[in-house]
Amino acid sequence: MRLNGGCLADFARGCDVLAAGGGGYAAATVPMTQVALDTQGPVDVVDLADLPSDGLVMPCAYLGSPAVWVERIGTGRESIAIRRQVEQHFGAEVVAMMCTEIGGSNGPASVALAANARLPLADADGMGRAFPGIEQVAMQIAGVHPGPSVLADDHDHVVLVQADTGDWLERLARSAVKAFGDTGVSAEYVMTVEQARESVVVGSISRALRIGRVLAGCAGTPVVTAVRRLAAEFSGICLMEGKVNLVSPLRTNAAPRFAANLRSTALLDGINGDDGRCLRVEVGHEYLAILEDGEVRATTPDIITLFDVYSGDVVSTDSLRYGQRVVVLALPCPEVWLQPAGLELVGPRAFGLDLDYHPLAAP
Amino acid sequence: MSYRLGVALPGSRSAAAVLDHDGRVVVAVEHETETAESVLDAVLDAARPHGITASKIDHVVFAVTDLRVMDALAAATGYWRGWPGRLAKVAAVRLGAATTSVPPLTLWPPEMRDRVVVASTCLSGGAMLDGSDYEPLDIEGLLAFARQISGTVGAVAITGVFSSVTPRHELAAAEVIREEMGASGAILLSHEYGGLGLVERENATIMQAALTAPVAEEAAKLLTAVNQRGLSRAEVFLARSDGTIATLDNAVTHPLSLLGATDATSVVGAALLSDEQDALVGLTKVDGTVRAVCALTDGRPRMTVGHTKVTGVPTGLSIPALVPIHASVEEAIDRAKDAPGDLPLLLVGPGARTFVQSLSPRIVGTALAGTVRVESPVDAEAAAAVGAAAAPVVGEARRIVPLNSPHLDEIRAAVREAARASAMRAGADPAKVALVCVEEKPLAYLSDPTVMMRVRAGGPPRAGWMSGKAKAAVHAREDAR
Repeated sequence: MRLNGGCLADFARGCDVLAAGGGGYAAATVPMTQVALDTQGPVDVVDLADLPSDGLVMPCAYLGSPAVWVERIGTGRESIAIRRQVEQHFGAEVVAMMCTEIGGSNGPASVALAANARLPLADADGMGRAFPGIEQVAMQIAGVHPGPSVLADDHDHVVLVQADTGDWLERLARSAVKAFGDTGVSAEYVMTVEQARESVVVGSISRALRIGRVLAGCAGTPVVTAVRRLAAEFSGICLMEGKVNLVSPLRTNAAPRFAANLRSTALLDGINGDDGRCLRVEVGHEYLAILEDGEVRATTPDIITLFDVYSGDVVSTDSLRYGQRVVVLALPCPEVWLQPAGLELVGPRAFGLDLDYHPLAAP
Repeated sequence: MSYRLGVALPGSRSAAAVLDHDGRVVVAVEHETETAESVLDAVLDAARPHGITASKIDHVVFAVTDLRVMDALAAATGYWRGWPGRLAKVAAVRLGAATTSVPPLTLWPPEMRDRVVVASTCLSGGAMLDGSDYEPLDIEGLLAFARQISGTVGAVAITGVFSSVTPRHELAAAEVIREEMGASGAILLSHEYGGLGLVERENATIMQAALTAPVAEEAAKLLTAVNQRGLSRAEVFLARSDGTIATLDNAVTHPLSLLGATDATSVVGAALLSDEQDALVGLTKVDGTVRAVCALTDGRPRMTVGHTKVTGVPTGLSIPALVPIHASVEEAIDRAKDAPGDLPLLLVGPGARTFVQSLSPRIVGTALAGTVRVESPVDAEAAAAVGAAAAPVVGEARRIVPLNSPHLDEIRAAVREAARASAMRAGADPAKVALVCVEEKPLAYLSDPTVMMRVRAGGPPRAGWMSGKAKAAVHAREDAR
C-alpha cells in the first residue's frame, strides 16, 4: 500500500476519529504532509511481517507545545537527523518509520517524517488512538525499553538521552525540549522489527485510512447515518445523537501524572430518535467515559469520539461547548490495552476516574 | 448640535441612519439600492425636516461588506463586491529559514496565488518564544530579494517567526527593503495583524497587501459621494468585523478587518435600538426569514476563534460568529447561546417586521422556545446603519508575555499603551480613550508560564477638524439662510 496526496484527506479524517477528542486536529499537519508527499513522492506503508527481522523500527512524533509549533512549523526533515543518530547509536539500519500516535495530528505528521527520511512507514502505531503520556504506548506493556530518547529540533540540533528508568528519561528529555524552545521531534522505544511484531498496535495506518474512506463513502448522507455505518464496520456502537446541554468548567489539578491533570464533565440530552435520554461524558485530554442512567456505557481505552451533526467533523475536547449537536461513537480499543498491565496504564484509573474498565455496552 | 450618520451597504438593499450626540436615532431609512449615493440622498432628504443639514454631521460611518464578500472574492471573476479585482502585486518575505515544512503560499488556490504574488522567499530570521533570535537576520538575502523584485511589485508582506513576541526582525527587514526599493509600494508587517500561527498570519498579511490599493480606491469613491453631498466637514469612518469603527485612512490599510462589518454593526445596532447588552440577534432577509443568529454579549457580537478562510486561504481572521439556520430558528437560537438560560431575541434587517408578524401573536412578546421575548425594535430594518453610527473606535494590541520575565510590569504597561495608541491611530478621541478589555490567556504545555495578552482600548470618534467657534459660525450662517 502507498500513501499519496490523493488519500491524505481520508487518512487525516480517520486519524481524527481515532483521536478520541485529543491528539490535536489532524488538519494541522495535513499541509506539511502534503508538501512532503509532493516533493518526496508517496510513502510505502509496509507490514512488519515483510521487513527484515533485525532491522530497526523508529517511532517518531512531534512533541512540545502546540502554541510554539504553530509558529515554528519545522522543516519536516527533523527525522533525517534522528535517523542518523539512531543508526549510529544502535549500529544497525532503520528499515521503517513508525507512527507513535495515530490519533490526531501525529498521524499525518508521521507520514511527512517518513517521506522526508525516505523510509517506509510501518502499518502500525504505538497507541491505536491518542493518549497524552509518552509512556502510554503498547511498547511499554511489551517491555521494550524506551531509551535512548533521540530528540531533534528544526535546526538539526540533536540530543540523545540515555537513562535507566522511564522517569529519568522523561525528565532529561523534557529539559532538552525546553532548551529547543518547547518544540521538537522525538524517537523513543526504538526496537528491532522482530521485537516490534510483538510490541506494537498492528494495522493502524490502514485502519485510519479505512475509517476515512467509509466516511467519504457516506458523503451526502446525514452524519448520524455515517457514524452508524462506522460503528457497524468497526464493531463499535453509535451511542446517541444529542445536544450538549452543559460543559462544566475545566478543572486542572497538580496530579502526579500529566494524563490526569485536566478534567471536566459534559451532559448530552438526546435529540431526534434519542429524545429523553441523557449521557454524562467525563472529559480529560480525551473523552474518558460515558455514563447513562447510572450505568457505564463506555470507558477509556475504548475510543470515544464525538461528531458535529452538521459539519461531520470530530469535536475535540477543547472545542466542546453548549448547544452543539453531536453524535457519539465508541470504537473498541486494540486488544493490547485490555490486559491488566494495559488497563493499569490507560484504563479509567490512570486518568483519575474512580471507575473500572467496562466493555462497550449498547443501551 | 452635531450628528453622526451611519450607512450600511450589505448587498442589494442599503440602510442609513442619523443619530444625535446622545445616540438617539433621529431618522433611519432602508430601501432597495446598492449605491452609497442614493442611500445618502435618501437619508439627507429625510433628515432635512428635522433641521439637520449636511454641515451639522460630524461623522459619516460606512459598513461596506458582509461575509458573502468572501465567496465573491473566490469567484472566477475576481469581483469582490464593491471592490473590483485590482489586486496589488505582492512580494512575500518570510523570516524563518527552518520553517520549510509549509513554504509560503502553499495553501493558496493556484488562481489566487498567481494573481497576487509575484515572488516569495524564506530567509533566516525571526524570534524564539523567549525573545532571542530564532535565526540571525539575513540582511544580504533581503538586499538580493529587494533588488530582484524592485519595480515589479506594488507591496511587500513581511512575516517573521514569533513576531508577536518581538517584531524586531520584521522592522529591521522593512528598513532594508525600503532603502533598497525606495518609496514605491507599501510594506506590511505581520505583527500588526498579530496573533499566533505563522502561516495564517503570513497569508493575512499578503492578502492585506494585495487588497490595500483597490480598497483605498473604492474608499475614495465613498469620500467623493460624501463630499458631493456637502458633508465635507464630516470625518469618514469604516466599520470593522468586530463592530467597531476606524477612520477611512486607517481602515483601508487593514482591509481584511472590514469583512463581516455589516453583520457586526447589525448586532451593535440591535443592542442600541433595544437597549439590551446580552441577547440573541436574528439577522433577517427581505422575505422575512432569518438567515442567521448571532449572540450579543456585553453589547458586542460574539466572534469566531479565527481560522476564517478568505478565498480559500486560511487567515486566522476573527469574524462575527453567525449560526446558520439548519433545522429551525429555535435550534439556531440554542446553538448560538453559551448556556441554557433564555435570552431576548432581537430581529433586525429588512425582514425583521415580516418575521415577527409571521409568528403567532401568542409567541410575540412572550417567547419563542429558548427566548424570554421576541422583539423587532423600532428602526430594526436599518440596524446595521444605526450600529455603524453608534459604534466606538477601538484599538487592540496582542503580545506573547512570559510571566516570569523580570520586566513583566513594563511589558504589560507597554501592551496597554500600544492598545491606546492603536485606538488613537484608528481615530478615537484621545481625551476619552479608555481600556475596554485586558485579557491574558495561558498557552498550554510550555515549560515556563506564558500568556497571550490581548488589550483593547477605545472611545468615541474624535471631533472633526472643525469644532467650537468655527463650527458654530458656519451653523449660524446656514441657519440664517
